[in-house]
Amino acid sequence: MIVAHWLQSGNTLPITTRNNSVAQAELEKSDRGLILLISHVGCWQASLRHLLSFSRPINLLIQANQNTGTAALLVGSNIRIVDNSSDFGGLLECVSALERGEIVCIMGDRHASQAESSLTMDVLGNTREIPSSPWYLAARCNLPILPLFVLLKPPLASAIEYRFVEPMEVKTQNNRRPSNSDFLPAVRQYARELEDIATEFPYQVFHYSLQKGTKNG
Amino acid sequence: MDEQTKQFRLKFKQQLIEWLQLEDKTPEDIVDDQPLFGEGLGLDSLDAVEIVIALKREYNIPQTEVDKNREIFVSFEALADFVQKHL
Repeated sequence: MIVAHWLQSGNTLPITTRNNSVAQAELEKSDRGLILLISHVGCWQASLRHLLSFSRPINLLIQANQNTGTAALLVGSNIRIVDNSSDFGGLLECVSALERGEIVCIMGDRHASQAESSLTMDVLGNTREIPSSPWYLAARCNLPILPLFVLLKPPLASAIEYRFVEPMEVKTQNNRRPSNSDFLPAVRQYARELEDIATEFPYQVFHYSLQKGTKNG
Repeated sequence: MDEQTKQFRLKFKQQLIEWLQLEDKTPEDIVDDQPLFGEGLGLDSLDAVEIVIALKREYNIPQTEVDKNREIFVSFEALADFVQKHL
């Protein structure tokens, strides 16, 4: 958050990207939208600035009253906050945005509230609750999920890397309603990506236990 | 309620049960004027997505129409009336 505010104030850091073309390619495939899976890794708030370069409207699904700092960062930008504590968890707004060809960013690694539908993910030796919404939207809107990690690079966090990884697809049969088991292969892939990031940047992965309300990793 | 509306509501209740995989429910369990979400039938946000997708698929109702008429989710009868008007 400090880095995001620092950048917002007009300061700059060297920025590198990895697999930026993957995101571009997904957007160029059609005029439909894109689901970006953001994680509590590095300085994720700074990711929003980079996304503006894709020239598509950006929507960020978060619990607005728990993220007032992030919301303040977005004042005056072209990024719209979709409050996941609003009606239907903001998901109908997300479906509409995706249909309009917009980018929808969802925090993928942390379950926001007990009211939110969730599934479990085995990662870093623990079983964690994560939101179902990105996987459900991907299945129902027939769109891939593209994870993005925003990393502070050594030495001394002197640069930012925007790292996209390969898109993940959620397959369902015919028009059958997707279930959590349909999401498992993609969720496992996401867990592996998170573990790879944790191996490479062990002090930049921030996981909190919702049940205990304590920081534990 | 005229016979046509009665017939449509019964069919639509069966469709909701099928779309949302409410295996433990029958059409009789869906009370026309009770809320669909939270209390009442107890649907959640993923169910809302499912309904929107199904309305487009089965009734060709664009989501923009749903967006303009969010009050249709207040009860089964509000939703059913909205869909029936689009037949």
